[in-house]
Amino acid sequence: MKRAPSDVESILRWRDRPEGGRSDDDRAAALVRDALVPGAFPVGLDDRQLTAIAEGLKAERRASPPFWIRPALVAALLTVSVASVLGYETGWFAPVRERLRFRSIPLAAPETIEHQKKRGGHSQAAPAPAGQASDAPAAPGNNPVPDVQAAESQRPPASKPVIPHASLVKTVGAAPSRKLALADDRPPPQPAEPSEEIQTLQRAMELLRGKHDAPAALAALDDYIARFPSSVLAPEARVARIDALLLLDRSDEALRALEALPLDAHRRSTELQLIRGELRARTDCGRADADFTAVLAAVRTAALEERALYGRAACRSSQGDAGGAAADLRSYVDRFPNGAHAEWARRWLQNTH
Amino acid sequence: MVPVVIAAPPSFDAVYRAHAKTVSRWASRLLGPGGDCEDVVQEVFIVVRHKLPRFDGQVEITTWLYEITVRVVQGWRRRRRWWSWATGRGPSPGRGRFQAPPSPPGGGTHDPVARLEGRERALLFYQFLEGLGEAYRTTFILFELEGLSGERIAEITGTRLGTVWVRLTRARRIFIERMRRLEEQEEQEQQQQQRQKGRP
Repeated sequence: MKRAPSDVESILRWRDRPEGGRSDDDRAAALVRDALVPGAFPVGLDDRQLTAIAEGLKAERRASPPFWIRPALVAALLTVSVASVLGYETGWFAPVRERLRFRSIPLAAPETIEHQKKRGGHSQAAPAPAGQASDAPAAPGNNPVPDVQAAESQRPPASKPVIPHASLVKTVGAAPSRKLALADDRPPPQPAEPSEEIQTLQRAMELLRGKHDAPAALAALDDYIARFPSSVLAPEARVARIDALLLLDRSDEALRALEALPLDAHRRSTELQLIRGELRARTDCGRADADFTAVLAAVRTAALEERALYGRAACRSSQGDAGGAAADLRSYVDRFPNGAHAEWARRWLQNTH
Repeated sequence: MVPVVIAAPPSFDAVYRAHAKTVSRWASRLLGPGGDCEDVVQEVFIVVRHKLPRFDGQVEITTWLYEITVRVVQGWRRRRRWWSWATGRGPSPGRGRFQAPPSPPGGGTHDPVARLEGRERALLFYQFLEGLGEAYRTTFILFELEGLSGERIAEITGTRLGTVWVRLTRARRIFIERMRRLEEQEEQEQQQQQRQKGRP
């Protein structure tokens, strides 16, 4: 039964309990009495400490701020906030924003003759006069999209900055300003060293795609995934690992990896789903059928469509769905009369019907 | 008509002289071993100096001081918990600013071993209260150590009498649970030691 609140006065304090009992309350009471024993720990401050505190309080005495300071501060803050919002909305800050925008434009680097030639479509080696180059805008027809990579490859290597010669390098635009001249003196930016993570993945991809060394690539990819499991490139590494497993004919492991992989977000999702369907078809035609159907609904390439149609037909056939299999094979023959399985499909259709 | 006479609030110096020692005792009890009593007492009297002009004498000045002390101690403990969390090396009740146990002026024992044991047991007492909500802990200490009545505790903590009873009951239950747990651990350790001794 719940006790009335007034019963608090009737509760016996633990410290008032008789000593020597063995109940929980008695043992707790002993602890309370121990905490009350003088000298168990310093209780209160002595006169010296209290005097020191009194002196500290006197030294700390300071005039209290006037009563209006808080409302004034709040009002000031509100005014500033409202003024900022209004100013932004009505365009008071437009000049400031304009100035900031102007300052934020990066300085144009001086353009080399090679770049000028590429931009203008000129093939002559003779450089155009500086005034002409700056004043005459290139005609749209003569301004093809520059091949940036090729242009970059013609530049001197970044590790050896070459001081541009006056006769070879012309700046585009008006007379070079002091700022542009300063920009000239700066060394070109060094290319950033790829991180260890990128290097590891590059090595693995080179082994897989370049050297077709599936065992080494698999080991490298496993190492990468173990070290950088939540990296942005980890899904790519997992897909590459599946490719390596398929190359090694380790289909069961590849299927397990595919089952664990979220396919939706990957750029090869349709192809991966098709592979999963083909792998599933050996043991679980029901789920494989679903994969093939999804692939056929989303397919964009004929090669994938061909494989999916044939796979679904095979699955339906093994499940006893002769009608479905025949429909798929008919589609297959119509769409891919010279396909890898076209001959077999025709024979099957003739024998069945 | 009887004229209402409003007594002028006492001066700060008078309050300090009359109650500083008592406040320091309350603060020590509420903080437990390892608490920075000096810091808390100073903070209490900074608050007192600030609020004294508005003290209207509706409640006893000791109740008013108690209320401030309780709030300052709770704030100090909260800050210390935050500091422990932020730095990962906060002081436990036994690891605060070390203050040697004073020699007992009267009563108590002069035996250093007994005094050390007493300190250990006092530490244990406050250790059982650690982690308890501040309101429960304060109610428990005010009732069990300070011997205040339920009504006075309700007045100081700004709650109802029923709430005081609930808090006290719950604090007691938790205290006993923790005490039992520690006793069981000690018993197990003793058994383990005996088994180890029994091995050849």
